[in-house]
Amino acid sequence: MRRQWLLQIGVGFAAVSCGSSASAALSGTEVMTRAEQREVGKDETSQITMKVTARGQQRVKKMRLLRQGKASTKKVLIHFLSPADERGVGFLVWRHKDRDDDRWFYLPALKMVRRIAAADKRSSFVGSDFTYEDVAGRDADRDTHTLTGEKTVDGQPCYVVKSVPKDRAEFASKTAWVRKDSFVIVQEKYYDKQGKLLKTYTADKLEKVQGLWTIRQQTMKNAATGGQTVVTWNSVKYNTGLGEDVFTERYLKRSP
Amino acid sequence: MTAIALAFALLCVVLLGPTPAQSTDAAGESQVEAAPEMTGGAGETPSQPPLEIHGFVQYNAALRPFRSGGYEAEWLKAETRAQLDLSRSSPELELRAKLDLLADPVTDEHTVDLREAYVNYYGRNLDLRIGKQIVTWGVGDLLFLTDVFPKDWTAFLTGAPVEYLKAGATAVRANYAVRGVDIEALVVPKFEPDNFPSPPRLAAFDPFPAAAARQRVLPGSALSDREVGLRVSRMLRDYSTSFYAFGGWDPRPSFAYDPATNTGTVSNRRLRMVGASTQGPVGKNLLSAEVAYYRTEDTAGTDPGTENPSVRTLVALERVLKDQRTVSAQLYQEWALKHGAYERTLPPGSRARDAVLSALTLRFRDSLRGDTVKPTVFAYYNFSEADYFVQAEVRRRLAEGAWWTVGLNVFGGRHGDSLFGQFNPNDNLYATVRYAF
Repeated sequence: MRRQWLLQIGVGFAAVSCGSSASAALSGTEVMTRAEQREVGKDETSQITMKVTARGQQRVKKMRLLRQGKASTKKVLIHFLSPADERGVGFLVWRHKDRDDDRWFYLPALKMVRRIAAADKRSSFVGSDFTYEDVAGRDADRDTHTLTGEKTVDGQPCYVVKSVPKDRAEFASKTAWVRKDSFVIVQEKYYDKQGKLLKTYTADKLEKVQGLWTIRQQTMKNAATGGQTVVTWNSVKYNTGLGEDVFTERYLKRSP
Repeated sequence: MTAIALAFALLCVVLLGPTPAQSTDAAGESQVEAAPEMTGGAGETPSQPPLEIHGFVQYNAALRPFRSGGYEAEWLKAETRAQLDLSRSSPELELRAKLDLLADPVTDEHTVDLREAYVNYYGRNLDLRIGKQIVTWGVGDLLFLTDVFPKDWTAFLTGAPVEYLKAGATAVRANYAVRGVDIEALVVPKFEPDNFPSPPRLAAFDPFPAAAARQRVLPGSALSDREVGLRVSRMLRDYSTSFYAFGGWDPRPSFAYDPATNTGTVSNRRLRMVGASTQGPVGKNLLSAEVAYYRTEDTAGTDPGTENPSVRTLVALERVLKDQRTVSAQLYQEWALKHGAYERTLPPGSRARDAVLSALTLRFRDSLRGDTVKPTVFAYYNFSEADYFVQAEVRRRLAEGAWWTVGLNVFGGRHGDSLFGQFNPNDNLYATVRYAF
């Protein structure tokens, strides 16, 4: 009886140990993969404000964003609502896992839809401090990830993962702080080959919308220029039933 | 006067007309809702959509800086333009009127230009647009094979923003989407001609004797004079592909001289066109290709004043070099199908065009200083006619919604009757300032 009780304690202790080490045993790759694949709803309808501050001047862009899917299979439709000279301009992106994204833009004054050549993913997205890749997403398997420890950010325990690109990229390495409870990346720092800070990403406001962890405000600060871009989600709706037909030229031409 | 009356009527519809449902958020800010099938928002109570008022104030001037070909160094235009863009929209219905008020003391033009005015119905599969609207077909960069719709070349070649190259056509256009295929059909009740540069302010080739009387004959508004077009589009693998068919009027004018009455007549002849285009990736490049067969009224090729039936082809490649620096090149060719007959019936002393015209264009564009400075250069060279066109421009952001542009247009060619050779004296510098609201 005593041996069985000890055995039960031993099994229980082993189970607890295994459970603890299972949660601590996540690799850097597993953390970043879970961050990429975290639940973001089947689709999203958002209104977004982007404030770009550079060279002492501020520019504000407002846009409507529709998204279907996630990560390397998502489709995104953006229409600019302001400033006035960009109103109605649209972008449509179909992401692909194994090749360059398909992209279109729409000029309302000419009622013209045009395909866009495969861009340098490191290029700035509409003049902001976010690159096209920051916006469209960077596949987790393009980098080698190493879990370097754990830290607390704003009172929340986070995994700390260092990532090094497998191919040529805008950065030589980056470090991400990923919340353990939601796998949301709440902070990311990008470095060049010399280890000098290039830019810092922070998720400033995080809350649950329709039960899904949602970043309501994020900032990218450019260490080299001192500029920054703040993106705010003014409204977010998930799972409204956006069909495949929405992410087509037909809807791209329906500027707001 | 008719345009003003139509503009006033449409303004009344936009301002006073039915107010389709649209939701607003708690801050009272208009929310741009998706179509009903996109939101699935059961139980939502629609409220009145606001009237959206946008537009701009713009100053656009062009100058011929040097005396050339008998034309003085002078202002070509000094145009002040105010655009009002009025709209009310809901997921199902859009009413829009875009009205330009312009005044130009150089050209002595003070007028109201109804750019667009239409009602748009958005259905589950069917979209319908009725009224004056811009129609754009094809994939060319300033080269139009399948796009046979009205253009204002005078505005564009004297430095107006590129949107003014396209003029509106009054049309009924239906777009039906089914299983990934878009079928667009349109009817244009009355042909509207292109606007070409002409004397006395701008040089252009005149095929008629100097002393001849001139008359312009436009197609009428009989039912048989209407234009019809059809475009069928779908993605074929990675390529956006379209097929086109058109029956209507050739936007390129025809010339006929009657020596008995010493009268030169400029008119437009019937045109049937079928074509196809495709656009998609080839490695890191964007490939565009377009082909069109033009069946003109001169089926025998024996009327040198009317365009020969022809096949036109376009192949283009575009590539992003770094950041947003982009270069592109287009090879355009035009194959006259009845060239032999054309040559045999050409009046003595007239210059014969080649059976195959070949032209190359190059474009470079960039976006600098956080998307606030945008230079672009476009160059066109026709090997057969030895004529060329170069446009270089820099656009710079002034403030939120405001920008200015400076640029130059250069024309030239070996022959005074070629496409750009005729515009040789029209080299100009231009500038535009626009504040949009």
